[in-house]
Amino acid sequence: MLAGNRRWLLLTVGAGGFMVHQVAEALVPVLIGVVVDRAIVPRDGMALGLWLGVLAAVFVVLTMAWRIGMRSTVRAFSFAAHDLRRLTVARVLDPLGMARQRAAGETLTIASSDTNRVAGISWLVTGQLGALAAIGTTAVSLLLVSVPLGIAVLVATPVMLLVMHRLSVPLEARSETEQETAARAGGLATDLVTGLRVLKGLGAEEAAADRYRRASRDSLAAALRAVRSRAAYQAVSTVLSVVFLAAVAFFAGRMALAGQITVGELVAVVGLAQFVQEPMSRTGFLGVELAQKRASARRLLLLLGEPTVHSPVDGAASAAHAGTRDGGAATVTIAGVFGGSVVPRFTARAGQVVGVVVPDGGDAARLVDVLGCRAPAAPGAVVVNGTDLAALDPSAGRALVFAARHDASLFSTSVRENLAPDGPLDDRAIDASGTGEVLGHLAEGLDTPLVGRGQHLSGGQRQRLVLGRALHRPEPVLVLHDPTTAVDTVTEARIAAALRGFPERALVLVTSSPTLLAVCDEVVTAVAVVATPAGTDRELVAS
Amino acid sequence: MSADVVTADPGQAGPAAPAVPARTILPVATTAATNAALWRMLTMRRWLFAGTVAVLLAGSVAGLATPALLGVMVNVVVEGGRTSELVRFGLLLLGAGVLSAVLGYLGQTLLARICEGALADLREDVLASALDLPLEQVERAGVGDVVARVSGDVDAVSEAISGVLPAVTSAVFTIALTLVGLGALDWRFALAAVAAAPLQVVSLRWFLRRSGPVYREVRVAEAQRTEQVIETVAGATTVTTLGHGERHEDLVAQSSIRAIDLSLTGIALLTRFYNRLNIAELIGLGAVLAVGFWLVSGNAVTVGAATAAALYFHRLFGPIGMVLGEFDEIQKAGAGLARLVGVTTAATWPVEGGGPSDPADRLSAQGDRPASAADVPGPRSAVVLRDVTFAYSPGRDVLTGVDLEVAEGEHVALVGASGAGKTSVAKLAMGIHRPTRGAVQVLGATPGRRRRAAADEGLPAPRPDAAMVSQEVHVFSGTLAEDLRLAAPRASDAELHAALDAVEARWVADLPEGLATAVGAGGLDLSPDRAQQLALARILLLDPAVVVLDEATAEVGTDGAATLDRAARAALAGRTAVVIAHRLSQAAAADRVVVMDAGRVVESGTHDELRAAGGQYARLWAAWERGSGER
Repeated sequence: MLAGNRRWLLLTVGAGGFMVHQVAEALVPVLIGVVVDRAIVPRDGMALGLWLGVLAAVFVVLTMAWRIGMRSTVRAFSFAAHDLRRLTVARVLDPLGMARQRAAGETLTIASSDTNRVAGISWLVTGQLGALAAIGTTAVSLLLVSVPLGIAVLVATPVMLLVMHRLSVPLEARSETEQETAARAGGLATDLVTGLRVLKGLGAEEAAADRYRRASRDSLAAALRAVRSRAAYQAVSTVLSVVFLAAVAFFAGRMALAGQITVGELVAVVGLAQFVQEPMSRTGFLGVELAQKRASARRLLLLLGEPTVHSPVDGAASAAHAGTRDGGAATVTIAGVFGGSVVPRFTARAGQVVGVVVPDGGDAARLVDVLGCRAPAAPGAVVVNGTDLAALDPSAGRALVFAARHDASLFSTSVRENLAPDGPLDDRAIDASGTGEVLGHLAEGLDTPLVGRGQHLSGGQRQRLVLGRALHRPEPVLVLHDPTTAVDTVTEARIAAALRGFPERALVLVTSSPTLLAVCDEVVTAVAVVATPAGTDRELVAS
Repeated sequence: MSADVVTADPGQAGPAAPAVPARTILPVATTAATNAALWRMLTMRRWLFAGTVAVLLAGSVAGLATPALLGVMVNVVVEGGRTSELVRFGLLLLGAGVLSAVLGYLGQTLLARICEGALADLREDVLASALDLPLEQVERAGVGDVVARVSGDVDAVSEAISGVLPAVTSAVFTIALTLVGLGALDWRFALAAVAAAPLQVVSLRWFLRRSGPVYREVRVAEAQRTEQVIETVAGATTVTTLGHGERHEDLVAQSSIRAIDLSLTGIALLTRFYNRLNIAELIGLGAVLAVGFWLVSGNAVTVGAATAAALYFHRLFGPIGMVLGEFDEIQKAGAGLARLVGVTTAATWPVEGGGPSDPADRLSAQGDRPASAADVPGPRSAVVLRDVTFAYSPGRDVLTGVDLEVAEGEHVALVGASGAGKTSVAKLAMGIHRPTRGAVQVLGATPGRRRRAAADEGLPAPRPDAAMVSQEVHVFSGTLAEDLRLAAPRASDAELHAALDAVEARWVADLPEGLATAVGAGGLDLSPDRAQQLALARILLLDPAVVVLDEATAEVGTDGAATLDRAARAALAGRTAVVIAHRLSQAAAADRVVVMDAGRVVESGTHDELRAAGGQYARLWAAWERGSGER
């Protein structure tokens, strides 16, 4: 890890490199003028050698300064993006959770493009400082040649910058539309191909291609509009600079005719007037670039500052309860209101399997989230080994109860690392989850990497791997949410029977599958909260 | 800092070998085929193309007038001319500049119309071809390969075409014309300018040789970093539930550092390349100045001409850097283009196995079999599998001698363990796969045949006879109406509402924008059961005679499952249906239950018959019933 002041050093060196480079670039037309003046006009061979030598020296400085500037800026940018990515990921993975859950796509955009854009400020800083150096060198050189010319340039520059800036503002909107429509068309293409099996099932290939064609035409129209406005901007800026150039050339020419400046100075002046266009238009775009970065920075800051779901619990008190991850007879007691459903009080002890039927799918998910410490538990709602889950911090709670979501993800490591990331494989868990049958279909068995998070597996295969992983967990209380919805009825029956083979664990099955409920020691059914005045829920439980 | 240090094999990042069939990615077009496709696209816009070239040329000529006129103005000064001459040339300078600006505007917009238009045609062709690929081929290539082409490659080519090509084209014009201009001043100036070329060519070759592999690795490493971020962020809930937060933070950091290290190697190469280009500029500029000195000394040219020559060459720095620097972008775009053109020529349909062209003949040709269903009075068979054997790879039969007839309007439930062959039966009925032996017919014809015949003759595809709702739920991104209209493009809003009502999708009424609500990726996230309701509504809109249903319901809860069962009944009413049962309640509701095991049909009969028979189905049902009683 680089320290913060090292970052500033990189940025300073980068800016310095680019500035020296631009100064040297500005000196090239000046030197062309000098060669004309000192060597070509007086036909002086010695002077030619001397000034070509100076030109070579300037080129060495120019090229080395650029190299240093480039390398330092790339480093500054890369490590800044790296830091921002780390911060973003750390915030997303904070065990205390996020108050507002963003869609995965939104978080991804922030973690990948917004971090890069914000880090791109490194380029902005060093590049703009370089441009300023170029404009400054031009002005000083002209001042040295002729004070009125120099002053004219110093006055004309801000005026031109202002005009260019005004012209570049609508460009931004156009190219944003261009990028949006292009992204929409690209996203649609990805989406249609991802859903190809569904499309084929409907024979809807043509309808889908037609839809894409429309999106593609929209994108084409927006692209052409954006090109037209970019080209118009370029044309106007060409006209502006040619006016500037013609005026400078005319006045400098008249001064040269009057003998106020030399021919070489005239050459240098027109050369500089040509050269300064590029840095000027770069600076003209500063406002647009800043606006882009501001939007990204705002999204990034909102994410990083997102409030947590759980308030931090006193670590010491919490840790005192959390010693029973492995072993020890587990007992979990659950009762209370979860979403719009009331779960009657029940207790599951090690070796027992208790089924919980929650008719409302959303409330079932809510119950599992509370058990998995992803949502705060009401005091007394979940008690594990005599400890109220609400009094534990989420990490301590997760050491007692393992409750993954129904749609838990797999990761792109090997099957083995997915099943048992922390320890040896357990044959019992593999057999019980029906994973053995899945392994038979995989080219390299347990060592098969799950490329693309297992997306090339069928839903039933993924579900069995997720179940196999859950059965490998060491926590004394295991909660499974509809673990067999995607597997066939025969395999479901086998899994149901095998789930009884884990005597060291208290198993809670949140499910409505009769096949699974048939193997439970006890089944409780939640009832919907009737619209009653607050506080009467308990009576409802009692009834 | 050399590329040799990096030893990671980018090939390892490729998709893993999948379960059954071997992975074969889609073809990549040869250079000749790619060029031919490019040429076709350009010649389609022949006149536009010729006009654009003319405008770009004229624009470059006008641009070239600037340094020439500056040279003339220097001459006026050297020769002690009059101010009025300066005014005249100054105005000419202005005029040429304005002309070059106008022509530049025209040239850029015309070029964009050609390039962007061709690009749009190409990407539409590519997507249509990708969607038309046989599913079997797509599964063998991996959906990822197809997605990479329609998104990644299209993006890369677009970026080159919209971002790089216009600038490079006008740079090439400027360079060519400047050389002509230098030659017009004096041929020896052009020769001096070309002195820079050998070093430029050598540097470019040096750079491309080294940068190619490094950039490839950078792209692989960056893709891995993105993949790791996606994996961690998309799976964040699972990561924290597993207590693997720190582990994943480290994984992201490692992949990020690796990408940075590699990109720094790439930047080191790039800076060395530009250093060499700078030296080439110095050589060229020095040579032009020296030639100017020599020619002016010999009175062969004026000081103004020498000045113009130096300014000409100085103006070339930008365009030359642009062309050489973007060279590898253009090469990359070429590679992307080859992969795109490859998709348009990829489709290889399974060959109809040499037998009689009418598949009905093949059924009756098997003389020792009982007469086909068509001969038997009573309901006609909508789906017939006759003695079907099927293997994904030779020697590994997943179905052996399967006979199955589904009468018109009959609902058959398939029950069996994974690997028993239920899904293979469904895919054969849909025409996604062909049987290795035996015959499959849907409504009296080989499945998919009519549609393919129409496609061969360039006719619009007829409505399919059979449709399938697979376990894979996919809500297409766009509005709800757009999603539904994939099945029936001309359906009215009222018809869409009717289909949604039939599958009890009452939640649609609560959506603020109703049918115009954005759903799918980037829109409203629909729960799996709602997504299934949409899938069933699409079936109603499509109105096929035969439906294959392999719907699994995830995270539905009891209420949801009952709703979905009713929705499925509505969607199947009046149709022939093959239902792969995930809940035994689905099997119980079917007209007939077929139990499969290890690629064979082992039990077949009504729910009551099989219960009474005391076989595998009876045992499954007993467990199910016990569990139902628990609630």
